[in-house]
Amino acid sequence: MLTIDNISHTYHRRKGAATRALDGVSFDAAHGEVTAVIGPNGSGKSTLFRLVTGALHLQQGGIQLDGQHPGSARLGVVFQSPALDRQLTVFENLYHHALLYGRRLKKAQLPAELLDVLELNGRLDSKVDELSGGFQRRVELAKALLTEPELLVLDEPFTGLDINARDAFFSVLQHVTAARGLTTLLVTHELSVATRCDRVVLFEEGTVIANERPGALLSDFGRMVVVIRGEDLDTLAARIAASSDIVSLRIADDALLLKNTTLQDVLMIVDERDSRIHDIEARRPTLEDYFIARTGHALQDAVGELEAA
Amino acid sequence: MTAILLPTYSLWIRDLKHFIRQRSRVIGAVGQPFVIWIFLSAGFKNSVNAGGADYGAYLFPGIIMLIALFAAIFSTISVIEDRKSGFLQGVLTSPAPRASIVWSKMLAGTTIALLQSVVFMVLLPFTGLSLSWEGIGLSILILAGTGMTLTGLGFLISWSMSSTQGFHAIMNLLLIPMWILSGAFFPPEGTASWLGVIIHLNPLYYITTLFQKAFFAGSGVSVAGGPSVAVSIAVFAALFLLLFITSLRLVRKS
Repeated sequence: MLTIDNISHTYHRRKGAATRALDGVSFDAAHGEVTAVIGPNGSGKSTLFRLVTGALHLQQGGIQLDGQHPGSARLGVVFQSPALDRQLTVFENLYHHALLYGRRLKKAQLPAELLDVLELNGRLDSKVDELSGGFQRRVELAKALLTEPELLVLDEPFTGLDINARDAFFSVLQHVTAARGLTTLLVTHELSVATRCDRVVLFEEGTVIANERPGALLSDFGRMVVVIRGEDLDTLAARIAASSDIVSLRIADDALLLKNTTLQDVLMIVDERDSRIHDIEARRPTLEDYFIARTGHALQDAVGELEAA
Repeated sequence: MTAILLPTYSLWIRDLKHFIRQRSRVIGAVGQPFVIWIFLSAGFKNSVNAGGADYGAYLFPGIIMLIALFAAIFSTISVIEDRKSGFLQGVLTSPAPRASIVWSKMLAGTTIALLQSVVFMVLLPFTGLSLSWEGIGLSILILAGTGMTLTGLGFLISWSMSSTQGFHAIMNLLLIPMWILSGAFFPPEGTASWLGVIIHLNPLYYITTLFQKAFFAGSGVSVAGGPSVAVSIAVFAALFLLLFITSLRLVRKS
């Protein structure tokens, strides 16, 4: 088990300015499970990643894997930007990586099961540059798993992948995590992926605001929610509250979310022909809904704003 | 020991693969010094007093030094490329000792410098010089030391830089004057006194003089004046240690 115990980290900039990136963060991640670390940019996810991978020195608190420091030899890392040598072949990348870990590797020694799962058989002599983004990610994962790590840490590994490649990559990740009993820490802002993880640790302004199984986080929202988009939503929310026990939540200036209900129930209270209503949609609740309920602002908006800046 | 040997080997061989697979780099590395030697020796034949020796022959070891200088230093551009491509982050989070990064880059730069220099030496018969095997052996040894030292200089600068263009600009600003004032291009004797001071402050002057003395040993061409072999070796060794230790500290700190 990976134990993150009360870690704090402050960046000291020039001219004496200091930014507290992490503030007393504690959580556990279990073997055989994918634990997603989510949160808006600037919430401390990347600092956590850098601390776990040893790229930053711990200032306060502790990080332990089964009671010991997770040294680099027990660690597999997949970075947001690829750490591959694009001029070399797939095998050469694996070969050189193994040497960094003190292992000489021959093609015949490559774990067949790993190559099968990652569908890299038959691509070992291809130059990395000639592979698609999805397959480059698989080579990256193969590299990280080649040295048989106990802890696998991935930082935004879906960057640049389309939905199909992302889903395929995540399925492989889930498979190897379970099959090898790995402790997998996935830093991401892909909420749809995080929903499929075994556990979600939610970061906000350097602290952990939730640490649960995705289903537990969303249990309060029920199986389905209804989202109404339009104008004068405060009046509408008041009318719904007065005439039913449906709980509503503003998720945007022009959107009202109704928890644990159905479209049919809502249409008995709300007149869809009302000109102030632009759209009514029934859907499953998301982690975004949970994040808004907890923080009062949207996680993806924060990501978008920072990326645009 | 294996803990540092295998990672060093891995990173060294990888850099060599890059060099060999870039055909244009190989052609440029061999072709450019040849062209420079032909044109400079023809152009300055009657203008430079090379102590009685044929100017083309005098310049020959200087061109070899130029090859080693540029090959060694510019090989460290790979440090910037590795950082930009993301490859370096994988190395830094691996158990590979940080020293293996410095050693591998120094070895790769030296190997490339030696390969290019030795290929250029094929032109020796055209200089009219007859060198002793001892002189050639010593020359290669000094070239290896030069490669290690100058790769250290390149490493130190490239480790702190994020742009290959910036690295090119800084190194050209530093390298060309260093080479011109190394005694490779013209003997320092008889130059203006202020230039003489700068030449004596240039560490490459001591390395080049040492190289010329080894190169011309037994050839009939004498390298008169200049610093003694002992002083040259002392400056050479001090510079190597300074660059190596500083590079090591820099890498361990990051």
